[in-house]
Parts: sequence; C-alpha cells; structure tokens
Amino acid sequence: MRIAIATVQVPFMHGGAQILCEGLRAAVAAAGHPVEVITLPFRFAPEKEVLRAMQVWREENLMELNWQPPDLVIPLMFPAWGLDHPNKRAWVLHQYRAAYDLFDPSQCSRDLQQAVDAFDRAALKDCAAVYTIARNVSRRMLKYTEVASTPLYHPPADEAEFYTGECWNYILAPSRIESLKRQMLLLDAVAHVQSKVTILFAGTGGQQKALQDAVVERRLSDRVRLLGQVTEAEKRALYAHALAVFFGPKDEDYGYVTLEAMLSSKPVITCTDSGGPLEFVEPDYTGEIVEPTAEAVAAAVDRLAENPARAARLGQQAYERYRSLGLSWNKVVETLLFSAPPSGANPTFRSRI
Amino acid sequence: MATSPLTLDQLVAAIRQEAAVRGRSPLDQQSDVQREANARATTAGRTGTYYKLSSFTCAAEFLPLYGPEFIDAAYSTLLFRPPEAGIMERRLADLLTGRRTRWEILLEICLSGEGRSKDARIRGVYLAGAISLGYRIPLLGAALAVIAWLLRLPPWLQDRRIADMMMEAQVRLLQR
Repeated sequence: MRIAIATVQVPFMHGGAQILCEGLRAAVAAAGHPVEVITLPFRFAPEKEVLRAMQVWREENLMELNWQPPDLVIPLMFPAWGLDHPNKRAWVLHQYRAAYDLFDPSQCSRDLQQAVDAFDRAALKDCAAVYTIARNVSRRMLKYTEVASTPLYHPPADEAEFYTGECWNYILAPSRIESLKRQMLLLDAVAHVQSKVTILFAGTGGQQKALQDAVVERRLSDRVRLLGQVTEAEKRALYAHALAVFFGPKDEDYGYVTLEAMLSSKPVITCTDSGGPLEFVEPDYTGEIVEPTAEAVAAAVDRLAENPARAARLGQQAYERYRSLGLSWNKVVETLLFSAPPSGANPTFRSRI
Repeated sequence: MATSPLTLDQLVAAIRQEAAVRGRSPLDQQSDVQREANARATTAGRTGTYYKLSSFTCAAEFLPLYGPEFIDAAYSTLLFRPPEAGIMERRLADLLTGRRTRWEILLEICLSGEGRSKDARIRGVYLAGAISLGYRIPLLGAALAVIAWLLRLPPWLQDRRIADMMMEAQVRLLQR
C-alpha cells in the first residue's frame, strides 16, 4: 500500500512535529509500505497567508498525481487535512490553536477564526478516521470542532537510548522556552525552595533571553543555569542524573518530556492545568501534580529533594508505568493503516478530563 | 537531603563529558547535520537557528571547550550569534599558535564594540583575561604562574598556554 504523510513545514524550525513525522515515516517504511512525506510551507502570519494555505491544501488532489497516487493519506497538521483524497486517516498533532483555545482577538480576527473552524469541520469530517496524538487534543477537537477522534499514543524518539544514573540533585526543565511552557513558574519557585537543589533549563526559544535576564537580575546564577540547545546525548544525560523533571506547561497537547522522564526513571513535577502530562503523571506514584503557583511548585521540589529515596521510588514506578503503556510505532502504524477507530475512550489510560 | 558532590560548572561539564562518552544515536547525527547546515547558512547580518550550548554564565564553564566548539559557544553566549566564517578561522589560528588564549578571546569579545553594545558579560572573564595577559609579561609572568600554582588556583586561572595549544592541535587533527 502506498502511503503519503501530509503535513506542513516551517523551514529551518525543527521540533516535535518533525520528529513525529520522521518517526511515523520510518515506522511505515519498516512495515514494508512505500511512503512519502508531502509538505508545503506554512506561514503563521499575516492572516491572509493562513487563508491561502487552507485554499492551497483544499485544491490539492492527491489522486491526480502524474505517476502513482497514494492509496492512503495521513494528514498530521493543519491545514493538510483539507487535501482531496478518498482515503484520509488523520493523525492530528494539534489544530490551529490560535483560532480555538488560544484565541486572542488582538492576534486573530473573528473572520479567520470562523474560516478555520469551517475548514476544520468540513475537512476532518471528510476523513475516513480521525486520530489524535493525545486525549487532550481529542478533547479540544470535540469541544471546539465537534469532531470525535481517538487518541493514538506513540513513543518518544530514541526510546531505547534513555537510561538512568546517579542523582546529581538538580531539577531538569527541558523544553522550548516559551510563555506557554512556563519555565518562569519554576524560576519563581526557586525563591521559595528550601532545599539546596540546582535548576537546569535545557532548550531555546522566544523567552530564552527574558528567562536568562531574570536569572541574572535575581542573582540566581549559582543555582540556575540555562543550557541552551543541547544535543540528544546531552539531553539523555541530563535526564539520567536529575532528581526530578519539571514540566508544567499550560494545556500541553502531549508532551514528550513526560515520557522521556519516565523512560529515565525520574518523577515529573507538573501542574493541574498542564493537559497532556496529566495523562501519565499520577500524584505520589509517578510524580507530583501541583497548582500552577510558585509556592506549590517549590513545595513539590522540596518534598523530592528532602527524600531522595522517595524520588527514586517514584521514578522507578514511572518507568514501570511507561512500560505498562505498551507504546510502540508498530501499534501506531497498524492502527492508522488498518484499524477502524473504536468507540469510546481508550481504557488503558486514566481519565482526568 | 541529597547534595550534589559537584559545583554547577562541574555538573554541566560532567553532563557533557558523559554525553560525549556514551556516543550518539541516529537522531544525534541528524542534529549534527542540521547544526552544520545552519552554521554554513549564516550570512552577514542574518542568522538562522543554531544548535549550541549557548548560555554559559561563568568563564570557567568554557574550560572543557576547544577549537570551533569554543569559538561557537563564546560568540553565541556573548554576542547571541555564531561567528562569521573568516572570524572563526582567525580565532582558531590564534588559539593554535598561542597568540591568544581562550580567556583573552572572551575578554576581547566582551570589550569589542559589538560586545559593549550588547552588554556582553560573563562572570570571571575580566579576572581570567587579566591573569592570562599577566602570564605573558616576561619574568613577572613566570612568577605569577608559580604563585598561581602554589595558591592552587582553579585550572581556568592557571597558565595553560602550552597545554591549550597542544589541545587545539589535537582538536584540529581530529577534525580532519
């Protein structure tokens, strides 16, 4: 069966979407199917470019290729699911959130919001099946677009390479440094932390300079370090020796960080409104779930730092929990290519929504 | 309560050493290719995304770095951009021949026009740069080196010109 994976790309910016796409491509190819990734560039601004992108994908008929049309198309990102093909099985990373849960009238006009909504409703309902990468994405899709979908989870990249090591008493916060990821929350918490832990931020992003300036202004350079972009090997080493991992974004879709921490046998500190991580973090079993306040985060850090044996136990339980999930690319490929989406929620995961 | 046996600088250095020892996965190699591509794509006045450990806050943290890695980290930390190709070659030659030490390069960047306009600063650079320049003074420099050794100053404040030149040569050889 010829498979096409349809997605968008923002040239020279690489993140989770590209990793997922490559993982899917490799898994489909390993399953013995010819596979191609079909992309078009996507521009977030100005608004007319978003409208144009929807139109371009709407006019893209993948059955009318000059040579071999695909038998099945897997759209991943907005607005790729607008393309024309009789056998589309979408695996949605996330919708155009600026038109939905992140809608801000000063950033996105009502016209664009309505156009995106209409586009998604028509295009997603045209799909033979709609899957998402996480229950949080499905929940949003049902709430805003009234399209039912099934969460289909996948493992993080280089799953087998993660390991655990001696605890070096630091809290790791690995993620793109953006407002929604809320690294500043952890930095604010440092002022309330009683224990002598250090904080390591790994990643770059739009808020990196602001975070770095805050570290200098608050004279925390001896306790907090921004590592910038790290290699994959450095990331794994950082996970391996952390006391715990902080990942408290606002309403995250999925969050590789949680799974990577679990693979490294480390407990995760997350927040009650963090979305994706809540599907995997269980309070006092695989990590800590706290209110998104500096005091609550600091208290969680102190609880783990003052009882490293408990932190190690939570981490081990997190690793066992990850193994019990049975995440695999084989399962993803099998589901996307062959399965009819089951009705109801996936019983493997505890629901918090 | 667990305490780390390492200082923050030592912690970061240990992480990077461990990462280097454990080797790289295919995803690491992809990242390396992307890093190289981004470095080559740099044009005057415009930079793309580049993948470097770029947020050091202490000169001592540069101690494990040599060659292009050091130059990249120095520019990305202090000037928030990668070095131009010509500058990279010149700096590497300075390090290889001993015309400049790493601390002197950091000091130069901080004191340059661009460095002053961007408020480039990093803890310890003036101390390390001044001491490094002091080691170059005939006779007095040798005395300073002995004093530094006797006082057991940290490695980044000792006279490492010979050792660093040898390391630079080795790094250059490994890159071929």
